[in-house]
Amino acid sequence: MAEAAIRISKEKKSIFMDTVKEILPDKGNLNLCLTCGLCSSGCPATGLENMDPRKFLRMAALGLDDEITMHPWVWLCTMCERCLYACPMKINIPRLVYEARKLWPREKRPKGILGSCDMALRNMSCSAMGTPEEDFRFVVNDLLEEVRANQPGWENLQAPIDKQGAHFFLSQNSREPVTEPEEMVPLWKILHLAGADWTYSCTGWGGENYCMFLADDENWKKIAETTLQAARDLECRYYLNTECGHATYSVWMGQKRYGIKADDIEIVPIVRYYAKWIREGKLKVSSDWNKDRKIIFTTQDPCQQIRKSFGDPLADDLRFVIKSCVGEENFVDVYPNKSNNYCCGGGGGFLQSGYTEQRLKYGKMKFDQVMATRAKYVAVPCHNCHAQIHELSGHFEGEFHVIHLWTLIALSLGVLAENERAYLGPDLQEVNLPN
Amino acid sequence: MSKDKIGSVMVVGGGIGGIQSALDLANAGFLVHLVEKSPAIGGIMSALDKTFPTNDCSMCILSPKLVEVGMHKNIHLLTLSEVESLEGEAGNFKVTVREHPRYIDVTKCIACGKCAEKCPRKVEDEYNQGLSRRKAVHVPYPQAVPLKYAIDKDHCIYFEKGKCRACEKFCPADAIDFDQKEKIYMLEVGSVIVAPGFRCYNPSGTDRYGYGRLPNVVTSMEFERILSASGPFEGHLVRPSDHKKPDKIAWLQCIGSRDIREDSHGYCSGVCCMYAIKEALVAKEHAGGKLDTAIFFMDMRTHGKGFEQTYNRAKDKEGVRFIRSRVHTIEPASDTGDLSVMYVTEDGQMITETFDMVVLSVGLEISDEIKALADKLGIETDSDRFALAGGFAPVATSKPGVYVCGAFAGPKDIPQSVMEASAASAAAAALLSSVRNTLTTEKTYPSEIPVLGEKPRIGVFVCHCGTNIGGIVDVPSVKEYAATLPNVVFAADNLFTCSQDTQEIIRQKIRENHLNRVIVAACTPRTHEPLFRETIQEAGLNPYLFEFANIRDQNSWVHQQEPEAATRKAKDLIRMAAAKASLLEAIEPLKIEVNPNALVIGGGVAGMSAALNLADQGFKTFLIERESQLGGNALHIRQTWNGHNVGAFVGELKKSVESHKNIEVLSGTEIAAIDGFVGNFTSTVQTGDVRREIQHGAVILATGGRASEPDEYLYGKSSRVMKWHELDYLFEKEPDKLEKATGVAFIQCVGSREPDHPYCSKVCCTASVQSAIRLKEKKPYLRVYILYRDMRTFGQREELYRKAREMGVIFIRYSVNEKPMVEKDGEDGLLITVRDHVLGRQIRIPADYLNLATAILPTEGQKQIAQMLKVPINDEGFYLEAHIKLRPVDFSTDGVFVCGLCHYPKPIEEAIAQAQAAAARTAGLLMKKTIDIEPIVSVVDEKKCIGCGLCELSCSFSAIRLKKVVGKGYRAENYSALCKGCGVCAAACPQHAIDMKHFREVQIRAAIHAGCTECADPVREAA
Amino acid sequence: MSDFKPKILAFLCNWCSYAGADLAGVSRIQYPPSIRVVRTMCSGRVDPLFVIQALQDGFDGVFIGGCHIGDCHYQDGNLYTLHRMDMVAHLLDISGIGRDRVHLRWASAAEAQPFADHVTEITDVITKLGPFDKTTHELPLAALARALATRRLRWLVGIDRHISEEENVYLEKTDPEHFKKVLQEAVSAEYHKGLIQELITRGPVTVREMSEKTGLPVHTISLRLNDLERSGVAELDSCEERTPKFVASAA
Repeated sequence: MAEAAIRISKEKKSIFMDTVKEILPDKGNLNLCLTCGLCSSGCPATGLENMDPRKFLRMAALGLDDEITMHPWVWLCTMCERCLYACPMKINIPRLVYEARKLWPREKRPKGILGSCDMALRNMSCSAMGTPEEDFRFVVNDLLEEVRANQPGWENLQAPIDKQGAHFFLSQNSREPVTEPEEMVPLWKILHLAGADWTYSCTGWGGENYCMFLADDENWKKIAETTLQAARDLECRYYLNTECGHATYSVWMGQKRYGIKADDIEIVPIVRYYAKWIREGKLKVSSDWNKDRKIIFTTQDPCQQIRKSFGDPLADDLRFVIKSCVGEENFVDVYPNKSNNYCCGGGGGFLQSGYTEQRLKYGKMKFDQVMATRAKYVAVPCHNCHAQIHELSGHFEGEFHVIHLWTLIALSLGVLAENERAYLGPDLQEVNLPN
Repeated sequence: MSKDKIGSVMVVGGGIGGIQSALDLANAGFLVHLVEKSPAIGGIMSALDKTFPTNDCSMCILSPKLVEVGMHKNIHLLTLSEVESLEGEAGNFKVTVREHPRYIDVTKCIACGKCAEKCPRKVEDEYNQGLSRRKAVHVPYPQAVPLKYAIDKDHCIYFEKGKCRACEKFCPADAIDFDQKEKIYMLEVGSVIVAPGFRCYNPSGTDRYGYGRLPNVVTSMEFERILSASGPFEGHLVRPSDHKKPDKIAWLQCIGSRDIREDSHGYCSGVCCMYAIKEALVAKEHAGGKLDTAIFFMDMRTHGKGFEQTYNRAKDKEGVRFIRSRVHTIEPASDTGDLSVMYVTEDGQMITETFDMVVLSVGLEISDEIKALADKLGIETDSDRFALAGGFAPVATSKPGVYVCGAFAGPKDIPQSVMEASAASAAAAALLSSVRNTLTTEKTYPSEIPVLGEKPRIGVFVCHCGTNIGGIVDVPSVKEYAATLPNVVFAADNLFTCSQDTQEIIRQKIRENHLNRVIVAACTPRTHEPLFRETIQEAGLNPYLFEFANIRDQNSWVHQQEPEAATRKAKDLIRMAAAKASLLEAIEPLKIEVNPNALVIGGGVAGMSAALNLADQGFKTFLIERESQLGGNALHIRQTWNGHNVGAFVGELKKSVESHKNIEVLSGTEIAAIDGFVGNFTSTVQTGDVRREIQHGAVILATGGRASEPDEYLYGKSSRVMKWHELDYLFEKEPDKLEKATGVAFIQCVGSREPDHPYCSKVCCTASVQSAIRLKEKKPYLRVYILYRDMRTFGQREELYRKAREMGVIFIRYSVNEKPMVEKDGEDGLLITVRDHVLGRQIRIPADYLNLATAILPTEGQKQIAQMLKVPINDEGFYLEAHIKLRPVDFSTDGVFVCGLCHYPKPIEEAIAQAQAAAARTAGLLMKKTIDIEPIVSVVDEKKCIGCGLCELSCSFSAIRLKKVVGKGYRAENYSALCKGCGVCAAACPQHAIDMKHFREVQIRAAIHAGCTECADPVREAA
Repeated sequence: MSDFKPKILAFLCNWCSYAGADLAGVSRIQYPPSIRVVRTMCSGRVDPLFVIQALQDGFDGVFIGGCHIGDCHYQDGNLYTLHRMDMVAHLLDISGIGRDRVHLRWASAAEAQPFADHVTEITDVITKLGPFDKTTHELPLAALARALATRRLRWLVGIDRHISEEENVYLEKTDPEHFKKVLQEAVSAEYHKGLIQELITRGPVTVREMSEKTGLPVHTISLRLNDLERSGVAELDSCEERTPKFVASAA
């Protein structure tokens, strides 16, 4: 136990925390810490790399900059803000972590995140997979043709690109067009049934932003600007985010943070519209299919969409949508939930950062929380949550399935085709198939 | 100020603060209008189970006061009433009061409860925090004053639907009156005291505690009711969801406090740490010791008198777990109702524990309603909504003539509220001293029923005291047994014998059964004998025809595991009481004259404040100060916690005191001797070589305190190590030293909270934080470290702690087991090594200066004065007041009062409030021309006396002296006014010629004999 | 014998020990249910005769509780108690009952735990002694009561403090050791006289019989009897053969 004592230097030098304080409103309250431990007690990253939020802040406060610099924990904290949500002193530790990520030379930052950021900067698509516009246009049109041809009743299905003056500008996570294009179709069908006037854009369609996770302000801003500009160029009224938490947040927050001009366009999450359309009767979802099956569903509240941006009202919409599709009695909520829900560990770039073992440890809390509901399905409107929880289910042998809301809504509308059921379990492969 | 002053005061709020103010004023010659919003007085204290730190039963200590208010001739009680407006000026106000209809005629209601029994509408019982249901017609609680039912209009079926009136049909007293209308009163008063209290923080606004969603998460106030014998579960410790006995309970501190989020409060609520400890201890007691209790906290704030000792006992002896961690979220552990609490230890280890229940230690806040009252009265409030009260006039509001006390002027506990209540009454009395006794009437009693020569007819009243007695002792069998005793003609048992309705029952039974002796078997005569004496006096019996059997404090509470033995003991004690009671005799009252002058010992802020208030009230006051000038410790203090300039204040105060026509200051003067008794003291004081005698009716002890001299941390060995104000002085005198300094450190609890001085010195955390802020203001880049054990910036002082952190002061918590190490760092500084509490690693801090917050001790010579006056001091050398909760400035010895540091370390504004409280209590005594003194005195049988003089020799009070009797030599004679009633002479007299009234030899012998006539108990026979 | 639960009479002064006992209750400090309390304003009210009566009435022991020396609410009442109980202890020893039946303890109003500890400790001591059999000790108890009622002992114990702590009328301080001797002599003399008086009150009795019943040497009996005859308390009743029998004088 002969750890060397920390000798506080006599000279006043500009320390990391002071510089962070300078850039934050109210200085992020970083000095106010009561060292009460509340943040750490609510943080799934507590204990990883022998670090926790309180300790991290304390080290910064005592000026242990050398130890903070290049500390891997900053990549294990997803900046989910659950600490900030409850901190009695409203201390913005996630922002401190964000700034600490910047202490890493850009090239030393996790390759997965770095690569995805750089990839998105290669062309104007903003796709983290670097998918060029022509590829995207091809995939969309090709798939649309196929659905029109093969799925009866969908001969008039639309997937417009660059439609000037459309009401909604829809962003699209690259994963679907690149690796599982048929996953895009249920959403098209939903939008069609709801009578939504929407469009993709061939520039700035990519619904992701890894530069945000990389703590690369310049390029976070650049991507947010590009995608928002694309929407404004098409004179859309609403920038509608796909079911992707961090994409939603990066645009919503990026606009505020960098003062990107967007007063002619509103940035909105898609779940709000699912709920709206169901309430308005435009989406006639029915839970009859689950009346006798009594398959239990639960959900996850993506930190980026709920706690960090749109709050409990959106969490309520999320539940309304799922309950409408599966039946009130077949929805069992996780606890805690809504704005106070746990981060799954998929966000913040964790999925891409290479710290797999730590990420699974982090996610154990989420796994246990889901298991406590006895749900067979987790419906979640976020790609990172989807991927992480899916992996948790497999890794810890939870035997539950993770689906997007579009899958569930389309299922409940009776429009989910056979080939659109990749994430459904065997129990639902045959259910409510379109005639 | 108005010339036409009015000799009455309005007190707004009937909680403990308002009650105390009302009683003090009513006893000091003023008519009091006590306005209470709810149907009964008692406030939050009435709903508490026990009170810290002594765990006194809250109702037991409050009830006598409730009864006193209810019976007081000069207190006009207005319940269901609210103040509408206030006009006029100090000395002459007009107050409009709106009285809401009770729909019950209070002159007819006999509180039989028939109405509630028949009422078909059940509603949530707010008195039980919604844990149980009551009827729409109800009394808030069984000991309520006035004990009159009230119809809750908002829930009454008749008012909703136009029919029902079931209560009316069944009321045997014809007391229901649905036609009652609201009444508006215009009352003229000279002053107003505002004591509306506080509201408990409602934690349902946040999802993190699960309050309202998880049934076994309860607030501390709900837990009080759960523990209470009169609560929803009759005192059985069970949890709400399934009424299961909990095995594990957690308390979460700072709920709604020390949290700057919008739905919370930044201030510390000041009382929660102690009440959580109390609740844990009481819960353990209920559960028979097997209960696991854990308190999750940040800083344990046990800064009050006796608090730290209670904390230590809870921790070290009773096994209450104290976990220093704030919890993010309470989660359900499973479907069983159990709760999961996740917390981190200081090294960042995550621990999950399952509890049966979680208690949220909710803080105090000011409701919209109270804020609206403040607006109506035109008094200002601060950003936390607490009433703005002047730093040096702690009970004065922004409006002259309107005073405040209790939690409305900042979070505080009961003793502090009681102190302020007395202080507020002192302020009002000073304002209105010229019209004292102009509106009051005297209390009269019915003429006494002669009992001499009558056969004893004893009535016995056995108290359940909720479950305090009834939970251990088989009260019904004790009652039945009592009825079989010789001369006992009536026996009854009561849930709370001290409640006002029981007083009426006792009086009624005296009349019905022609009782001429009364025994109450309950708590202790030391607190409750006066109440029952008064009760029987009102029924026409001489008050000394009363006897007490102590079956609670000395029986049920100390034999909790032996119910049968406790029941036997109770029977024995009642039998002994009955034997004595049979021989009790009526005793004539003794009156003595009161010298209206006061003597205040100690010329610090407390002593000066007390003297000034008494002088303002018109009493000649002698102020004795040992030093050559007045001022005491305050001469060294820069500012109060909220920034008021102490120097200027002390200067002003000195001037007022020295120039006051009613004050005679004797500085450079010591007390040589104090003789006498309440109303008639003679003190010998010595100034230089000159001795002088002073006659006075009362004494206030304000002898102050001093800082301890440390022998650690290089104090005295390095000029860079200082204590208290020394560092401030240094930088003021030599600013270049601050200029050159790069780091300064403070160490807290130097000598406090350690075996030699186990108490917390209370003011040091705030003092160091303030000092640190001043340094940071002067030099923002100075590194300032405060090494502490628990940061005790209680109440709104928390803002200072927040501010200091915001300015960059680094706070490091050390453990008493691993104190910081201080060494010289070459010639030009110090090096302090301390383990950081978060990182668990040693930190070495270079500092130019170190300031130590050393313990506050009682002043030298305090013990001698205590001996002169025969008043007790506690283990730490501070004066021990009569009752830590409800008599915070009194002693058991009449005519002696206490205030300031000699009572316990405290900040200046508390010392002033306490001084004014002491002045109020003193004035209540000095205003009387005569007072009744205990007529329990010695009597000499001249026929037996042989004039040996041993009695005269033995009496320390010269209350028995030899006189010449012609033809017989000498005979002993009594001087009853001087007699203290000790009985030393009676036990000494070689001739058995002396006896003590009320403790007569035959009475004592009868009790002894009764104690054993049946002492062959079954266990012993078997053996 | 382990089931034996003694019954102890406790005299507690109102200001300290009774308050301490109340505080023990308030603090829920547990102690054995052995004591039966008689409250007096001061421990100085406790006449030694009360103590003897308690034993005569069948209590197994007596506990007198007062304020600490120096803290008496009545200045020095407890000092009288101290001297009186010293004398009682001495008498109990010479009577064969033993001083362990009677205990004097100090407990302040703030001393809840010490108070409970006193009760526990005294209860333990008396439990070990076993039940007090008042019938076997009937004679010594009666004699003790007589001795403690005498003017001589009451005066001596009352004057003790004054002549040993202060000066007497001749401006002399009495040597406490010397006084102690005088007192002890008086105590045994008065106790012996008490025994004899008790016996002669019950009917004519010979010196030898008295010696057998009291265990005192014949010589001592003769000596004390002489005293009693002189003060007119005892007289010759009759002579059986050549042995004289004595009785109490008719008052």
